[in-house]
Amino acid sequence: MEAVTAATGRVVVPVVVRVEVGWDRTASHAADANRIVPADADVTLDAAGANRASQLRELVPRASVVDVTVAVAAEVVGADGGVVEVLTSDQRDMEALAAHVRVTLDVIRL
Amino acid sequence: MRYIPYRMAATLDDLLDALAELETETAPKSTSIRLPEALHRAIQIATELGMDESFTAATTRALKDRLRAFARQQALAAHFAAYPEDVPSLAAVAHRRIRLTDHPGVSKPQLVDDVAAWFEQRWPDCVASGHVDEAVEEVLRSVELLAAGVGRRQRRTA
Repeated sequence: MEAVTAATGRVVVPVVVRVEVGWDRTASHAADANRIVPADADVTLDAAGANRASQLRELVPRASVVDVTVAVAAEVVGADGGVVEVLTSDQRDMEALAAHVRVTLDVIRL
Repeated sequence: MRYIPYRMAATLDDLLDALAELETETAPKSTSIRLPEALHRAIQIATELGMDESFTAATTRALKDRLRAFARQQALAAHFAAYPEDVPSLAAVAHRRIRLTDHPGVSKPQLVDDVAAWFEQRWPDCVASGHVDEAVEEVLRSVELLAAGVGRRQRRTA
């Protein structure tokens, strides 16, 4: 909650992350999460994003599909400057990706 | 007998559903708004100066930003009311907001703590009420001023 409270700009959730954690927005038990991080926070991966994700995976082979998708989303969100905070359980791989993305990442372990 | 349509009271979820459609909904709805003349003129001028590409875009963006800020404040307040243990301190939020930035508060964490504590004393529910963004802005602005020495008397030596 501290992270969401501190977020000053866009909060985004790559949809693949929702799949990974089992967050179905239509489920009744997701109501609170849906309010705090509403549906307009969902971001999908388009063709250009998939290309970029593949490039990042080439640079950091151990990074998962979810990790590189998050990194691509961070690049989009942070495109006009500022720090993008990434909440992840996989701090090591995200920090490895942070060295290759075009924005400043603040990787926070969940 | 007059029929008065019954309308359910709007909920936060209704607002969030409407906001979720903002990016996908393309069909415009004609609406008539009475704006103060000075505001109308200001929007026209700002649009000409490059704020937005059209009058409609300017008003739409302004409304979207305000609606999203309001929805965020309401969502935070609702969550914190249900889960008071989740309320972070104003200092924690301020620190988090400036991490990895060049804000002077990064090198003066105690100053951030002190200013945040001062605000929280005077506005105890600033975070829990969802008005955290205004509170953090005030804290960080004050930290910036104090770190720059504003208000400190210059010592003169002869």
